[in-house]
Amino acid sequence: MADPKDRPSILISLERGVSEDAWEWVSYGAEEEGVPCRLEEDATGSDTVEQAYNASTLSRFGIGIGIGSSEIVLHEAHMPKGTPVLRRSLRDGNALEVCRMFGHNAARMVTQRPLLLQPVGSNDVAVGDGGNKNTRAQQKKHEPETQVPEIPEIKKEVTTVTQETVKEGDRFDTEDVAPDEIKRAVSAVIRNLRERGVL
Amino acid sequence: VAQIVAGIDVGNSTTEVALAETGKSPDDVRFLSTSRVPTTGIKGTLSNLPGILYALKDAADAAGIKMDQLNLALLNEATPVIGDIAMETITETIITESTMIGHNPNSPGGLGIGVGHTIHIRDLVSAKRGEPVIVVIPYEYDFDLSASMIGQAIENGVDVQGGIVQSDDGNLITNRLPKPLPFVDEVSQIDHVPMNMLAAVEVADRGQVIRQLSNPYGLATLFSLTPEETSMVIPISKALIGLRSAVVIRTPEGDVKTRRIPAGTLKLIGKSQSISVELDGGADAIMEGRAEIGELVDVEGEPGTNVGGMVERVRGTMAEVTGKGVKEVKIRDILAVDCLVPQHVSGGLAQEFSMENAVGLAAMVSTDRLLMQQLARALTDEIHVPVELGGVEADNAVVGTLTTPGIATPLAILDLGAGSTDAALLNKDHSVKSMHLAGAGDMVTMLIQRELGIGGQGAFDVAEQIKKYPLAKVESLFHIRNEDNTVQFFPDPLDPKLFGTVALVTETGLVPIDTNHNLDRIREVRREAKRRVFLRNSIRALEDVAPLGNIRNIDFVAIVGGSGMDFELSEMLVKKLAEFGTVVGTANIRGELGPINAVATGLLLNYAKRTGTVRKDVE
Repeated sequence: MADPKDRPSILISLERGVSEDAWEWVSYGAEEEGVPCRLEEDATGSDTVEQAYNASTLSRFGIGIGIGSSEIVLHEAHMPKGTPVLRRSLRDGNALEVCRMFGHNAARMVTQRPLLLQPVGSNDVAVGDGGNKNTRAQQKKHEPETQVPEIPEIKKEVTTVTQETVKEGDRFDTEDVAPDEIKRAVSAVIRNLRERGVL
Repeated sequence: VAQIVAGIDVGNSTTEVALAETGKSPDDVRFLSTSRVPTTGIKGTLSNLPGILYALKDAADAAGIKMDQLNLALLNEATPVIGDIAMETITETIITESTMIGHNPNSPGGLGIGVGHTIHIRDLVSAKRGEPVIVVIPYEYDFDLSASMIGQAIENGVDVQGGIVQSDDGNLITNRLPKPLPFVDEVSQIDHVPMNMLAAVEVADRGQVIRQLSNPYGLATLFSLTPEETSMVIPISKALIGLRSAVVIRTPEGDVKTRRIPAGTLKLIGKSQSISVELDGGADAIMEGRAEIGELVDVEGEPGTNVGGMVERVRGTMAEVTGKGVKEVKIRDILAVDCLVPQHVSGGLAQEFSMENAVGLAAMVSTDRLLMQQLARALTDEIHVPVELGGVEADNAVVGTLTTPGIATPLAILDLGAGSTDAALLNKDHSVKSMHLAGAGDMVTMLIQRELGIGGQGAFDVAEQIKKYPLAKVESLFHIRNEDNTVQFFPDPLDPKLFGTVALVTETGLVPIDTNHNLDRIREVRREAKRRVFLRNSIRALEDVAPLGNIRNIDFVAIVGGSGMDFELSEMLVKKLAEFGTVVGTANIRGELGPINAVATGLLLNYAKRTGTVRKDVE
């Protein structure tokens, strides 16, 4: 087997001092999509965008992620250095979900599948379950049609579907506390059971 | 004396205007400008007025004249037909107990097939040694925890066969187990999965589809079914065909069946006879009956059945539009098309779809001339210019089309509009024969929408766009691959939201389609819909107008109207009609306008011919 450094991977640049959890969650996202990724210590930069860009240029896939203390950035080697593919704040309380979403998206850049614009793993929205979200987006798209002066019916012909910006991040802030707590509670139970020799 | 005349053609979807200055002789016609705007309201009704005014103003502006310089406006005597469409499924799959998850998540975990009783992950600790189980993992259990609990259970001798996962963690779980097991993930309604029931989980390798669960005998083998029971599970197998992963759960009361909805019969009433056709027989049976009956006087649907509802709905819409009584609305033609539409399986767990048979029906009714006269009067009041009805639409269209370079009689024109397919034949002796058939652009749009299962508000508009524009797959942030496999690069990066999507290539840029269908499937559905409506109707219409009913007797066929601008239709028609040895092509009105403005142009030419001749006689 070749040197792991030579294997095509998504490269991740982690700013010094940022929790390892962040990069681990990115790797979960990439793993679920079935694309290899690893940390690259040589990719550094003065800010997170530059980190991500440098990681992408070192990656054989040309895909890099930069994780800073306040934001996460997805970059692609062909993009202009200052124009990352996606960037999101990590201060909205669901940082780990956002990291995992970036892992999914980095992998999707490799597998050529549409990117996720919302974090994965809320109770009611599953990833593949795009149908629901999309219908809502579609409805949104067509709303503006009605507000045309004079001859409303004329619209039907000339409308082109314009993709409205999906508002990111405003749905999950309140919901994602619960799973973590449940996880902690369950781990505690398991630990207890182990200690008592039941498991 | 020269006068400025406007020719106005109100079509189903667009209103077109031509402005010209006419002189003394029939040949003295100087075209000033043309315009084309979407029609407002249903054609032949007063609601068309705003569109007409808009188009007139556009044309006047383009010609650099004021509206009050107009001497006369000519209104086409619109094809006295309007069409409507309806669709009903004739089969339906119902699962009375939740017994099936047929599901295509993006990334199911593991590989293979597992059979066992469903068990909640928290109860794994109490599972018996050697007992085959299928673990049910709700969202609260993340993959690390799930994997360690399952790993522990396996170590304790529990025979874990696979799992059903609510979140998108299938791969993550299976990667953390001592041996790969099949996990179906992204099952949204996991709380509906019954516990302690025999279940089978199957995950196929990438690029493969499941084989065991989509095979009735496979299910019979896994669940030890009797022959009677096996015949009951056919709908399950049918719904699971072509998926990469699936779960089937056997509940004692579980019952799945395909219900054939009593679709009813359609009664075609002709001049001398009437024929009843079972809708169950599909579109072909209906169209055979339609061909047999000759000229259609009316159509009735069996009351209390699907088709009865469909026919009444069409009649109701038409009555509303024309202002006639429901009883007076007569359906003069129908076009039936078979299709397969994805329908929600009632009782499924993860929004399963099953492909069900459906019949789409387009109907056409006659309107009367009175309406156009009303419209002409209203227009006069509005623009203070005399408005005349300028003769039958087909005559004008043919005369307008004759301005296409390289064309001669006998000439047939095909106008594949939104609501109806119209054909007209101009013989050498200048007699015109015309024909109107049900089913055109709107029918194609409906087929696309239903077959691709595009839902939600604005679904029809999305389907309309799919009909109009070619597709491309966005392969990177800098290039797309068009549906003909050519690659197109962009100097600036595309919006990341477009990445990986199937998009429409429009004049204003790429428009992503919200769908899980791949490019090939969308393209196939689009082309098939056009084939089944446009091609079939073109042949039907041309056979009707052709001398002796033989298309070979027509020398020239020209496609006019908006459909002539369709990016693939004329090519499809050319291929199809080539076998009759006829010259087929898209008209090029006045050698410059392409397939549009035929009627408006014809109105002016016919007018000049009429008046010019009269004046000459006077002189």
